[in-house]
Formats: sequence, structure tokens, C-alpha cells
Amino acid sequence: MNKRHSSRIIAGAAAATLAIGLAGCSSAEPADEGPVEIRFTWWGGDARHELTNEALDAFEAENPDITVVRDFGGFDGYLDKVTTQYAGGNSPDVIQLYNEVLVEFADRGQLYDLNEAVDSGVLSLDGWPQDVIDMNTVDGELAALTFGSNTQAYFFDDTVSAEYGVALPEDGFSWEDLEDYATAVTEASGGSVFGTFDLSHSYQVFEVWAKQNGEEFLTADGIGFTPETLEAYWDYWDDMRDVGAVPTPDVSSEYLGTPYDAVLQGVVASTFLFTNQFASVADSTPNELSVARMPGESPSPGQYLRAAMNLTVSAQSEHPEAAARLVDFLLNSEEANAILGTDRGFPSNADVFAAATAGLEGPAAAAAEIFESVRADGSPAPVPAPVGSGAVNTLFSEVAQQVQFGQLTVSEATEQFFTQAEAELG
Amino acid sequence: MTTTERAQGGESQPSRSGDAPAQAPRKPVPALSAKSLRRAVRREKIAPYLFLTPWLIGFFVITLGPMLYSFYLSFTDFSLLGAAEWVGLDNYIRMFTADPKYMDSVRVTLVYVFVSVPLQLAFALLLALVLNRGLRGLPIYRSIYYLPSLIGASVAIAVLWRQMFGKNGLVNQVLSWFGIVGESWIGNPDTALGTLIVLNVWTFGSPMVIFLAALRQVPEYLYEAAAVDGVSKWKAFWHITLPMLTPVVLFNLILQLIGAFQAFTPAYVVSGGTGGPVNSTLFYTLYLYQRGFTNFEMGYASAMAWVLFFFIAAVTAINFWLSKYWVHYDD
Repeated sequence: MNKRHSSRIIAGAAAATLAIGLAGCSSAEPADEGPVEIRFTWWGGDARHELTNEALDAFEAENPDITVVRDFGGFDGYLDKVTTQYAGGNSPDVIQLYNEVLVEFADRGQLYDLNEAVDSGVLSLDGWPQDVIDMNTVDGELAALTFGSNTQAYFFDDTVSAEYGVALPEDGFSWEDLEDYATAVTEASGGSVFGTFDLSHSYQVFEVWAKQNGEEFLTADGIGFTPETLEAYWDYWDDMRDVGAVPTPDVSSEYLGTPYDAVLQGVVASTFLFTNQFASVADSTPNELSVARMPGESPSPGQYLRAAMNLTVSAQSEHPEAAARLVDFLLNSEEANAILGTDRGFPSNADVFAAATAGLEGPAAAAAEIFESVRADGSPAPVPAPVGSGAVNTLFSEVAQQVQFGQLTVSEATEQFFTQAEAELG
Repeated sequence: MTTTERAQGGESQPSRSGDAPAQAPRKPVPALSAKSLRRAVRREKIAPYLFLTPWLIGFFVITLGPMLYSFYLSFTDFSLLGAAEWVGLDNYIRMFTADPKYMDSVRVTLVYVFVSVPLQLAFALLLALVLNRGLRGLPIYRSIYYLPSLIGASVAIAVLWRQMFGKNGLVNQVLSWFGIVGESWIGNPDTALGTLIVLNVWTFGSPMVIFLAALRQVPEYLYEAAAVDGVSKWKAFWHITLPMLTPVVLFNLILQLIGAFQAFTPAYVVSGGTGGPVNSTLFYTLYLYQRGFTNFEMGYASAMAWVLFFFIAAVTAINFWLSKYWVHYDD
């Protein structure tokens, strides 16, 4: 082959590469004919992906004019992906979001006001409790609807407790009862298993503690608790460390994000989780587990029914109506809830509760009992936290860790937390 | 080398003749008119750019463009969601005056870089010297030692590290044979950064391979002359091997420094994205990531990225400037 030919081929190839690149850019034409395409993104494990895909197939069968593109994966990097797509003007239409970031999106006008879909009759709110609607209302707009709710719970490894002959605390146990139980487990096992996990870093557990004391973690205006309450909380865990009821801080920090792993790994005999996590945690160990309400729930309960996750429609969506129809199907149809079950938590819509929870047994039924008991006797859900609350949550954990490692005293830590939290919340 | 000269010579000859009628065609090309020659010349001038097109598109569209955009964003309060508003130098001022955690991340990163890179290079050189002694099966050893460099920055290895240095990990199990009860290496703020330094040192393979190649370039006659003069091996190393290697040391040093400043994956995975315990593994890039993606402060994160960029550029420049005092060029 001569030189002239080969260079022409190369040039052609280069031009073709360029053309392919350009073609990729121009394919976003809105199609008027044929089914509307909407994109739904969620995070979860394999079980959730299967159930959700099944529910989406059912939706497509009922709505032949809508195709749902499914964009799913694990929780790691989920938010990065969604925000990056937003920044690129290419956000999904329907987005599963978690509560902590809901306000960050809503406050910046990035979510479609679902009230519009309610007004046009696409989305129904029949069967939805008013406090759940309030919880999802930001600046008068319905930013989201709860897609599975849960509540806090404390769970115990019965097998380990029995092995060391320590009786489980009875229902309605106090924080002191937990300390007695935990100390007994550590002593009986000679330190090979600790009684419970050091939760001084967990703002989610502290929130229950604050509510039990008639306060809030965060209100719409900022911090909702007194320094005394925080000091009492951190003092409690300081004491737990002193008596050996919880592991040493270096071990605790290995399980910071997922305390229940410490139970599964046989490091501790009990800790906190959310009710929707209990069934899969119980499935991943041969040991017998039991679940109870949080310590200190009487006389005044601090647990509440919280949104495990939400469904939102992007303000960037070109088909908000089709998106709202999907939201309506997933949240309000018995068919979808029968498929989805309680994998994401319990449905808030009382009309579909029976469909989602039919045939629950074993750990899932035990978790449902906790949920029901909080519904009967719990604390009201807090209003959406202000912008900047994410940084406060991180700060809580960091300062608590400095106490764990003895770098700060409890009173120094409390002071530092308040100073820095107020700066973050502005 | 002369390959470049040859290539240039070959290229420039016909193109320099330009519009002048074909005075001295390189080869007898039958029936070549002035016009078609001009066309051929022009085509040859364009060809390299066409070859480069895919790379050029990549460079402008996905490297330079976003970089310049991030420079603009660093002067805004861009949150990733919604519009960006101009805030002038606020982000840069805040970094150095009102963000104690930022300084933590700088300190952690400097310790990581200035401890792990020299150790890594020393280790790489040591092994290169050992392997250079005419070992049998050298290619096998070389491959084995190079392997960590290929996989060292991966998530899988970071996960493995997390397991190894955990409370019940391999390291503590080995220690327990000697009756030592180790703490969790990754869970303790005093040792967590150390495990990441060890990880970086362990990826000594790529500088090692470069050292090995450079060792082969040291002329044998220098050693022969030294041997004739009765110089010990130790002295020969200090006065022949090391000076001859200094250009390669500089190269490795700069490359590894840049890489270490930008390290992200190990800290992200080992600390579960937190930079903990107590910010002891809060690498600069990890903190940047947290600000950008967790706190929705992409403007601030962009400013951090540009400070890092200029800092790395400065360190590199200083290294080049210092190099005239210690790098020995043979020619």
C-alpha cells in the first residue's frame, strides 16, 4: 500500500472518530412519538435491585407509553453520581434520596414540587399521614415522599448472651440496664466479647437520647439541645469505656459506619441499627438475634418513625408527569408494594401497609413489631434539618472520637462541638 | 540519541522547499507536478495533527476545558446543584484562615509524602542493587516485585490492607505468635497513617525497574578502574554507582512526589471515606472530595484543587533547582 493511501485512511478514521463523538452529543432530542423515556435511579443491594426491577416491569406493563431506564448500584458513590449528573444538566427523572441530603437539594430548587402532580390528579395522597407530608415539605413545596420508613432499634446476639449466661435486658430497659448487661457480658467472656458497641459517635443514637430528654437534635433553626444533655450522653459512654462495657476506641473505629458488623464479627454482643436492616443482618449470621426498642424509652420515648429514604422528581425532568406517575405507582399501588415488601422500610401510606407486610415472618416480623410499637407510642418526627446539617453530623462523630481516644475531655468536646456546629450552620 | 535528528531531517527536507518548484525531490517520483507536490507536502504537514486528533480532542475537551472551568469555579460558591455565584477570593482566604480541618489535611499529606517517598525510593534502589547482581531468573523476580506497583493504588488492595491491619488481621496474628497483643493498626490515630505509608512503600516496583535499567547503563570500565585502584565495593557504590544514578533518582523522586501528593484511594478505602480515626488519614484529596461531594461545596473544593496544583508545581520546580547541586550528568 502506498503512503498516500495509508494517510488517507488514517485521516478518514480520525474524522470518523470525531463524527462518532459528535453524534453522541446530539442524541438528546425529545421524542414526541413512541413511549416517553424516564430514568429512575436508586441504590441498594442485589435483593433490592431484583424487587425494584420487578416492580418497574409491572409499571411498564400498565403504562405502555412510558419506558423506565433503570440506573442502580451500591450506596458507595451514589450521591457523587447523582450530583454530577445534576451539574451536567443530565439528572435522572426519579431519584431515590436519603433524608440527610433532601434539604440540600430542595433548598436549591432542584426538586419538582410534587404538589403540582397532586393538584393535577396524577399523584394521590390518600392514606398518607399529615406528619409525613409535613416532614417532606420544604418551603411550602412537597419535595419528596417517603419511600420506606423505619425506626431505631437495639438488637442482641442471643446465642452469645446464652453462651456466657447473661440474661437479656427486659423490655423497657434503661440505659443503666444496658450498662449492667454489657459489663456482665464483657466480664463473663473474659474480654473476648464486649457487651455492646461504643455509640458515642452516633448522632442518630444521640438524637433518640435528646428526644427522650424532651429536646431535639436539630430543628429548622439549628441545634435543638442543651450542652448539658450532650455532656450527659458523652459521660455515659465515657463510663462505659471505663468499665469495659464497650471495645477500645481503635476497635470501635473499625466499625464506625456499620456498628452491626461488630456484632456479626463477634466483637460485641449488641448494638443499634434501623429496623429495615434487621432482617438482612439476622440472615448473615448463624447466631440467634433478637430486636428491641432503644434503651431508655420509658417514661418518655425518643424513637420516631423516620424516612429511611425518599422518592423525588428532579426539577430538570422533561417529563415530570410521567415521573410522578411512577412515584404514584411505587408508593400507592398495592401491586408494587406487594412486590417491594419492606426491603426499603415500611410504607407510609396506610392503605398499602397490609400489602407490603403480608406474610412477614421471622426477623422481618420482629422488626415490624418494633415499628408498630413506635407508631403506637413514639416521639413525633423532626422537621427537615437545615442546610449544613451534613457537616454537623460529621462534626459530631469527629469530636466524639477525640473523646474516645482521650484527646479531649467531655466538657472540652461539648464546648468545641457547639462552637464549630454553630459556625457550620451559619 | 540520533533517532530524533534523523526523523526531523527526513521530515523537514521536502517541506522546507515549500512553494519552490521541485528542485531536489528526495526520490525520483515519476510524473510529479509542482501542484501535486504542494498538495502532498501540505498533506504531510497535516498528517501528524490528524494522527493526534483523538488525543487533542481528549486533551481539550476532557482535561484542559474542565481544568479552566474549575479555575473559574474556585472563585464561586458552586454547590454542584444550581447556579454558581462569584465570591472572589473568599474560598482561598477561608482555606488558610477559617478551616482548621484544612490544615489537618495539609499536615497529614505532608507527613505521608515526605516519609513514604524517600523510604519507597530507598527500598526500590536497594532491591534494584540486589537484583542487578546477575541473579538467575531475574525476569521472574522483576515481575514479582513490579506487581505491587500495578495493583497498589487499587481498591482491592486497600480493602486487603484494611483486613491485614485490623484488630484481628494478619499482622496482629503474626505478632501474637511472639506474644504481642497488637492494637488495631488502622483504628488507632497514631498508627493509621503508618499503614498507608507502608502501602506506598510497598509499591516500590516502578522506581525499582527504572533504577535497574539505569544500573545497567553504568559503564563497566569505571568499576574496573576502581578495582585496579583497590577501591572497596562500598566506596564504589558511593562514588560511582550513586552519582551515576542521580539523574534517575531525580526522575523517580519527582514522579513519586507528584503521585503521593495526589493519593486518594488508600485513604478513602481504609478509613471508609472519613479520613479517620480522628482525621489521622485525612489526605488532602480526600478532604477535597468530602467538601465537594459530601458538603456540596464544589467551589471551595475547586479552590483546594488549584492550591494543590500550584503547590505540586512549586515542589517540582524547587526540586529541579536543587538538582543542580546533587545531580550528576555524565555528558
